[in-house]
Amino acid sequence: MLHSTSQGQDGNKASYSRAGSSTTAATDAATTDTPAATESTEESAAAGETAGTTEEQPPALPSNRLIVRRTSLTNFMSDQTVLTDQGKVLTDMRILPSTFAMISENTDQTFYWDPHLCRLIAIRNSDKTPDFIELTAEGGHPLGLSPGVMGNPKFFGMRYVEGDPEFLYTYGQLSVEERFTISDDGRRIHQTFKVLTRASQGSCSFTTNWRETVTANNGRWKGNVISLRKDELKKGVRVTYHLDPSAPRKTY
Amino acid sequence: MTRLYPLIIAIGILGTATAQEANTTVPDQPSVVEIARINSGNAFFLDSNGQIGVAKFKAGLELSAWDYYTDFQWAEAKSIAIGRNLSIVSGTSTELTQAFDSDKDGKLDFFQDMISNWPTKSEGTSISSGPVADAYGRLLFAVAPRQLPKKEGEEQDTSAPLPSQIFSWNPGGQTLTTLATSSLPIAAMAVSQDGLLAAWIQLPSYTEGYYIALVQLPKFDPKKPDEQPISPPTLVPNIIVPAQLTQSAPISQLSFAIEDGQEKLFACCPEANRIIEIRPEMHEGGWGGLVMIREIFDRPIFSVEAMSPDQILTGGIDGFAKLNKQSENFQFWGVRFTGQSLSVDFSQPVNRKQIMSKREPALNLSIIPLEGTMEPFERPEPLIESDGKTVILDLPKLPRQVIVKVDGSGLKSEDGADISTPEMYYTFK
Repeated sequence: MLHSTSQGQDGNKASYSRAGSSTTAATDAATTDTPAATESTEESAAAGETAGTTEEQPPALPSNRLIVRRTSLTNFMSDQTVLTDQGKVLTDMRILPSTFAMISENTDQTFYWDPHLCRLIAIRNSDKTPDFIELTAEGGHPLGLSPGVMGNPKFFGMRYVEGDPEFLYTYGQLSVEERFTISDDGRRIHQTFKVLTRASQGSCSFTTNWRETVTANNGRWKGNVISLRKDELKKGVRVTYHLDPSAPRKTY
Repeated sequence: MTRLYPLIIAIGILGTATAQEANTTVPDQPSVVEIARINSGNAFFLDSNGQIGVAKFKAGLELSAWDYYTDFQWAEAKSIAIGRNLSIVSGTSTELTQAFDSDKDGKLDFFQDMISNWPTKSEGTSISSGPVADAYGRLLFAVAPRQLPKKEGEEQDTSAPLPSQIFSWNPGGQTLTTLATSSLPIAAMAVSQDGLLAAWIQLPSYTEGYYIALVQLPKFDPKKPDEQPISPPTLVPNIIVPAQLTQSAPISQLSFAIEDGQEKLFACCPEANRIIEIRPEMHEGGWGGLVMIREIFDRPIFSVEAMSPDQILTGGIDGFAKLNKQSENFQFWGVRFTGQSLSVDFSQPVNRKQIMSKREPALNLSIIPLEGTMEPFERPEPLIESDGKTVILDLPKLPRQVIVKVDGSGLKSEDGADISTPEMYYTFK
């Protein structure tokens, strides 16, 4: 059985549904209800914005970038939920086959994204000895609580957008673009989810360990879950991982 | 030579503009593990980091320019194949991926999951070889049961192993086609222009050599891309590459090429820095053939690619090199088996005195039965044909499956040239 065979060999860019241009997204956002300021996320609140009403200023293009390498790893997952999800898509749990390793060009960090689980599974900071894994995947898929999600996520492809890796996949009724950028100093990595969905809302959830590391520029936090309206999902939510423990957090 | 932007090369390929020719010297070449011919003067390549590049060659296969076509690294990729519109297909053990330059800026930027499922995947098979493109634009890949080291205390799996299979993705088709099966894992394969499939099938417990299977693939009708062959052929060993030729190091990639009007199969043996030449021949309805060392290099060679007839390119740790043409050397030229005689052809007339010498004969024969045993036999009396290029040796009665070893160590041509590769093997099946 094939994936997208008819378009594959045409040599044309695949007909993956892109979740709208930034202009469209900004227009959509401006016409929607304004959420209460108290519900806004840490990043937007710090910038004096109200989530969903102001066009997001794109981050300055980083001179640091992520080199993408496809490789297999020994399975180092230990979280039971993750292992259960792996059991649904892997025939051999001992290896993580064909993982995308995103290697920071200027710093010693590597970020692993699994095309079978369609999620970031680990952040490695080899500055620390030996090969220190800062975070490994815990819990379900970050978008797994969103309406319209069913079955397992299905990987479609990866592309470079302005030099940054962006992963494309579907998850039930969701069409997802998940893009990564890294700050020059390697202290922050940005993970932007753009989601096209028929549902009126969605969410992005983290376990407590990951929640302590991340902030987001959109939506409303409740516990470890960011609630997002349809237009916010379409515009994209940028999750920032603060990788230096000494750096200030939750003040963005 | 110069580093060349891929876009310029791509334009050159299409013939709509003049490619920049290089005048400056390139200090280094990429470390090449696979070459995919675009046309007689251009090729894509895969380097040792899994990065894809493009290279342009002058007449005589002298490297003119090269550059990387992407920053993306396929760390596990062993081979690449060219899809439509100069897209590139490569992969890992779990999927084949097709890469495009979607914004036409001279860099691959879109990597689409092309094949990530096949009929036996859920039973634990993974891609063991490929992709390989054939003359119809099909993309062939082999799957085999995944082999992982057993953990301590793990019980031996006594269930019957799954067969290995070669599938093809067919242009315009919706389903994969099973082209061939094998009870042994397929570690490398190549397809000739007329559909002859060669596959290295692995039997780790056999240490005397490496099995090559040869089979003519079922015909493909592009109008019926999803038509399944009624009975896909089963791969069996046809030729053995003796371990003596490879210093017991395994072969890796296989590649067909036409040279001197003859279809040849080349096997790279990077650990022994050499290329093995195989000349497949049909004998009494079965495939057999001649096997000999083609060339020994100073450093590992990973890939052989026919750019045009008689123009064969190699890729290795030191970059690209043209495979030297052998017809000007004194060497074995072929073997013919007629009745109970073996005719050994040479590229130049042989030194008759050496051949006929009974005290120190320079052409010796050994016969290695693949089944059963064989009585010792005396060296047959050689007969040299009038042109001096063919030596005929009468053979004893042979078992059904044998390897004949012809040893010409020390043999010289009539003009005093040393033989370039002194050992040659021939498998009769």
